[in-house]
Amino acid sequence: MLAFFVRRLLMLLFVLFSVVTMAFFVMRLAPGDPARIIAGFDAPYETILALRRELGLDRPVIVQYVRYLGSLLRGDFGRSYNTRRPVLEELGWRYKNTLILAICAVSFSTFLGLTLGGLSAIKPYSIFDNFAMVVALLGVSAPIFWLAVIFMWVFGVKLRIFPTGGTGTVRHIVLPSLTLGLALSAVIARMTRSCLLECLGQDYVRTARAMGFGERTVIFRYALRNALIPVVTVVGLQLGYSLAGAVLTETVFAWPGLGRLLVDSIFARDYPVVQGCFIFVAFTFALTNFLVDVVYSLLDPRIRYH
Amino acid sequence: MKKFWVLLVLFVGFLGLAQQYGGTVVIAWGTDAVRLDPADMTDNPSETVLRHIMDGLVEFDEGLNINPCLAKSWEISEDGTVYTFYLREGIKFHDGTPFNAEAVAFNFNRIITQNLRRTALFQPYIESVTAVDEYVVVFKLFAPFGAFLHHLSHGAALIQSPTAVKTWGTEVGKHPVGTGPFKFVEWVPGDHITLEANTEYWKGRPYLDRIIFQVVPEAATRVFRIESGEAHVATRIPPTEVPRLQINPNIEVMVRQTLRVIYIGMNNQKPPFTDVRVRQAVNYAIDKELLCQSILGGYADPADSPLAPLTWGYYSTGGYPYDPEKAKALLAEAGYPNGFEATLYTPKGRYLMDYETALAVQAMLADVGIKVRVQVMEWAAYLSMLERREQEMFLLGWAPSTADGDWVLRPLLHSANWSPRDNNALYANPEVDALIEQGMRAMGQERYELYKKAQEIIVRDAPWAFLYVLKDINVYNKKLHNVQYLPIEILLVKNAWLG
Repeated sequence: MLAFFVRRLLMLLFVLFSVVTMAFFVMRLAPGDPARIIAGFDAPYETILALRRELGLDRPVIVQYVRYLGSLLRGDFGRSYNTRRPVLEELGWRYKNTLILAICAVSFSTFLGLTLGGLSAIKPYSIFDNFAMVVALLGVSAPIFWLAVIFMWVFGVKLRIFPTGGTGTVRHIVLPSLTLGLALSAVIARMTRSCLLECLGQDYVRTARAMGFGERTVIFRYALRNALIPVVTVVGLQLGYSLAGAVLTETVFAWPGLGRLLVDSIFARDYPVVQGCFIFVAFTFALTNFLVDVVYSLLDPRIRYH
Repeated sequence: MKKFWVLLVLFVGFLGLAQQYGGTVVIAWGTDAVRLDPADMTDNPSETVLRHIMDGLVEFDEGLNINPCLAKSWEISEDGTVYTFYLREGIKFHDGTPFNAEAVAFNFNRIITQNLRRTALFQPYIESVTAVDEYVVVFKLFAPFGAFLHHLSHGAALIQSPTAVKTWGTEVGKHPVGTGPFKFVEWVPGDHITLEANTEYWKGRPYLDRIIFQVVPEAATRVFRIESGEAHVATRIPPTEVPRLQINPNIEVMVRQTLRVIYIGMNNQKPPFTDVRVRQAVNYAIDKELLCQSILGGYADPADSPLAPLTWGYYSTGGYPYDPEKAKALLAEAGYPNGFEATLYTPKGRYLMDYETALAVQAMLADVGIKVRVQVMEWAAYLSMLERREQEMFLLGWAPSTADGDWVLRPLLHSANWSPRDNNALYANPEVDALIEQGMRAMGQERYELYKKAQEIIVRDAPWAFLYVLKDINVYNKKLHNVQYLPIEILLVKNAWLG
């Protein structure tokens, strides 16, 4: 197990290094001058030139890269070109917000997806199954933006039960996580249904039934446990994606998260912040993947790491 | 009895209109402030917040007239190089530091000696700033500069507490301290900024207790915020949302003209645009009125000068009426009877309906035989393209943050400022250069006459196709009174009250 951890850790370091390097060079390949954007459109040219010097953008790219790596090793992520705040300060609380949103949304989607998918599989082709799968289809195909606007209008403007966005209280998280979660739950529901259906048709399930176990035991102890492995993969991936890809939800609900910061920083060519976001996202992705692997081994004792 | 009821109704009505103290106002706007340090910020949200926290020596009113503020009066020397300001006495910054001539000198010496983001707004003009008395400060300029008071009315000239600058150093942009009607409370980046009333304010306590500026990037969400009552003000509203908001009895739609002129620049150094007749033909071929009414939904007015009507020095030249026949004749005269091909670059979403305008212009130019390819570019890439002087035609907007004509004509149309500076049309006319330079040194009516002449020549030379002057749409709850708007795209609630 220790060797497994060490191997994974080395891989993680390699992934992070590659991500840093890619983020660094890709951003600099894109046309656009950070100093020009930051100085403001009506800034005198002298201000732009001074900014370029100040930000070190007048030095060769390779020098900038080596300097950046050097400061990263010292735990210094640099400062935002735009706000001059340390990158970690910019990222810190937005990362927390994104984490909260992702966990709430994925918890909701997992609960809803498993329930819908599970019940559909138990009574396939029933009215409930058809209904649940239509809902799932709608969830997959409805654009998040549209869903968000409908929720805001109904629950925020008309019923005034939940705020239309922002942060502060638990009520603020409801609509964003509902929106993001609903879209994610559709995939989980369909996945659960097909995997469970497949498992329910397996020999070992028939054997379990023949041995006289109750239907509940058969489903939960034998079938569902096996069916969950691909579902766990999907949930893990979704957690990863909602950490980086919830830009739409974050923007529409004015939720100050990492996705929005990343997009804004790309447009502003705020290199240090973009690079910082990439590192955080890659790290979380790698971590989630690792956790998924651990959960595999818990679900299926045949999977063990040596 | 009847009289009593009439009086009662009048009294209640009066109560509704009378200024009332208290309450928190929430402003939903699209982008967060960047840095709350006047000398080191270039963005509109930062300036808006700072104009609630700090005062300048002078200030703009809603008509962009310059009025005394922290300076009660001033004198300008005969030769226009020495400005003496007499300051108000007994004012304190929010941290208790006394406001005096030393504080003013400290602020301006900081901006002209350090490399800050607004240094270039003052450094080229100010030779020295000296406190000659506790409440008298003298600005000595290198040369007379006609737009100097406009520069002092700029957000970058707001005065902050020297103690705060010394205490916080480079972090002062997170801890703004001024003499203004509101004090800084907190800033949660990407989410909100909170200010509270400065009960000791020298003009008298502001009506509101608190102001919260909330970041709501999506315009549709800002509209929901105001409809649900969560916000009192929502800024930058898309025209498509206006009809719905106009029928809402609780919401006031505020439409104001800005200083932002949208134009299509032509590369004056690249054929066929080297020929003035071609450039004039492009101007005649575009129906500005139609653009304003159909594409912009009435939220713009046709432009007839590089300056907007509210910019100091504006002169109405009459511009180019829509006349496709004249355009065709001019093209034929210039040797292009069948038109020509060109590329029109445009950003998308940077300005209200920018891309849609480019498409409409494409169709209008096609009518006179000019075949234009519209190419959309992301903003940062767009600016880089302009720096490389690769452009043929390009759509851009400009609004002078000083509200003065100098900050349009000089950067955009003086031949010393070709790309990578801001004269992206690569326009050059020695006569215009001379007028702009003389305008810098002149004052008052003399300066206006110089700018008038410059505008006449520029419009005749047609380095750009002058399109329109944009309006800004903001909405607020009718409970809120006395919302003010500066045409430099700044919305103020510092004198507002909740009824």
